[in-house]
Amino acid sequence: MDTRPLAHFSVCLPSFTGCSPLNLLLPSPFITLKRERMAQLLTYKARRSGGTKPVQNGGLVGNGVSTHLQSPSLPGGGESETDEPLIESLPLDILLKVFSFLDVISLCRCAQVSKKWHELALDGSNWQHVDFFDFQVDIEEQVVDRLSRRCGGFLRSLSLKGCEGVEDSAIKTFSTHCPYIETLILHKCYRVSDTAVQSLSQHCNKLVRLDLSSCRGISDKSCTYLAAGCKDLAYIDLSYCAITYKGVISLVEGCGQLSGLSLQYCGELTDEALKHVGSHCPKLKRLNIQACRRVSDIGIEAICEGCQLLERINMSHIDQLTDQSLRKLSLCSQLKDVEAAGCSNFTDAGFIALANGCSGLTRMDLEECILVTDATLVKLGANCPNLESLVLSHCERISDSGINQLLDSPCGEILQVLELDNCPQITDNTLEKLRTCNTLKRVEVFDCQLLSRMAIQKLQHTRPDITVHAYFPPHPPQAPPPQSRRRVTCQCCSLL
Amino acid sequence: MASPAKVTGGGKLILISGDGERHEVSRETAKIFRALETMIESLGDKEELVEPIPLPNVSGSVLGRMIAWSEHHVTTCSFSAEAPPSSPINSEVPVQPVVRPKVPKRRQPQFPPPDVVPTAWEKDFLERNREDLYDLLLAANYLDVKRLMDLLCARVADLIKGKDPAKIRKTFHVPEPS
Repeated sequence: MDTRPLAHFSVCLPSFTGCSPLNLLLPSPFITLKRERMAQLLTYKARRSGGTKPVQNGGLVGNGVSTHLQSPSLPGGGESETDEPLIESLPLDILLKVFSFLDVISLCRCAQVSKKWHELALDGSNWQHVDFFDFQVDIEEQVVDRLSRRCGGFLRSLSLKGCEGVEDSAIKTFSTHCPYIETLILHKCYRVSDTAVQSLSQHCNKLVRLDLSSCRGISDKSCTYLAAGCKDLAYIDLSYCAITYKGVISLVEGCGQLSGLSLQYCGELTDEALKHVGSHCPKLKRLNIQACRRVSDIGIEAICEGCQLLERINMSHIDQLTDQSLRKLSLCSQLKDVEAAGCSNFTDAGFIALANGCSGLTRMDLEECILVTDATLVKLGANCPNLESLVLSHCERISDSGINQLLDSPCGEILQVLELDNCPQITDNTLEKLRTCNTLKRVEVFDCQLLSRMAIQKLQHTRPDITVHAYFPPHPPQAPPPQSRRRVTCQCCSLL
Repeated sequence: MASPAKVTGGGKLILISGDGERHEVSRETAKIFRALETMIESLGDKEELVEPIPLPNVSGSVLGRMIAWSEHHVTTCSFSAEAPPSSPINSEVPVQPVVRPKVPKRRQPQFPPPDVVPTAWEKDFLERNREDLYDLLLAANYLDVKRLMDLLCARVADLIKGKDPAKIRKTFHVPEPS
């Protein structure tokens, strides 16, 4: 199963008006119309000057038949008008294989080439993974409808991210036609509601990955439907939906295979729900409960006890969490990624416990953990040799000495990202030290008042491979910036 | 070809092309043609296969190139410096080059899903035979050489990508629909 987020199309549309790829997914009369218009626009007649020697009889392969793949100005060969272009004489399975290497836009263009190409290009086997993100504005009910009829059982993943025109009825048709769908992204499909999910759960039992984030019409009912129909669900995103603890409870009771659960900004999420997650989802690896403000240490504790495989947790902006949560998290030895931005009650004691238990940490976001001091950095350096990314912005108690000791530890040989925005105690000494960190790729030092422009320039000059984000007041006292920097319109100087 | 295969073990085979050309190849080389694999394995330890194998669907010149392909893929030593010998010998396994060709910084294409990136040698092979992609496609399909199939199909697909329907018709000499 492909769990990567769907990428986007790679081919850009030239200014060719007649071939919007979506036409093909619209009803046929529409296509014909467009095709006629295209024929008018392009009065090009295919030249057939390429040499086509007769194919030797008896064999599939002609000896020395020159190809038409290249430019038509191939030398040699007399004019020999065959009824069928060479490419169409290839066996169907080979042609289909060629088409399987095409993206959706190219396929749609191929479909306009000829009747045979139309058939081949729109063959469902070529449409297993479809991402409509680039056409989000144009996607209407009938496009999804037509696509699902075309693809049928072939369709494995579909992204309708941002396609606001999609409504329940489209998803309903879709779910009846594409029962083998595994990945479905409906992020920001605002008009999709519980009815659509009901239909999905009835027909698409192979669903593994479902993204319903920001679908405002989704409520607890959807969770009940999914729990009943989609037992294999491994990843679900219900961020910004109107989900309460009741929904989460029914969801996890049905979907015990969950390894990823995202519930950002679900304000009604409670400790009770997390207790159920802990007891029903032993395979959980990723949990995002950012800004679920009703969650407390008790909920985190339940997660830590039930989900021993936890690798990533985002508990940013849950301000009532205390060190107790961090101590419990230290029991999850697989933990790699911790986001705790704005958890202002977390102190060194908690992070030291965490670093003790989770030596595999690679990424930590401690923005606005205002009580954190250098002691945390020293401990991280000593215990977490895999730390690649560290955010310490607004940790006002961090000083040069902490950064120094962190970079002197094994972390100094692996750290790639360091964010120190608004750390008022950081001085030029830290920048000096950063120059020696070979793996570093990005440094953020916005609003670090003690940093001098000179020191930042020096860092940029000596280490051009590091991206430095810094800020200077509108009227710097120093000399004007060099030419290359003037192009930057904002006041942040971002040099490569 | 870069370097003739010196493969130990296994006797020689004679392949006869559709137009009667005789090609002598080692068994290991011929095994790259999956279509012949079972037959070769059934020969067991017999040193020489007296009976030549007729391949009526492949012409002599194409067969020669197909053999060049398999000779290259059967010997690790003939991999060029850019593609280290760690690359799998077996042509079925996609060979991952160490240095990937520069992809434009735009969004990464999701498809085609299989990562079909030719090695330097393979690129050169395709370039040298650009006039005969069709024949090679048919031959690779007939002899069941998966990696070559993938590369050739990807190559044809590249000729389609980024073109509008009219240009595609022009490239492939497809007459306009009436």
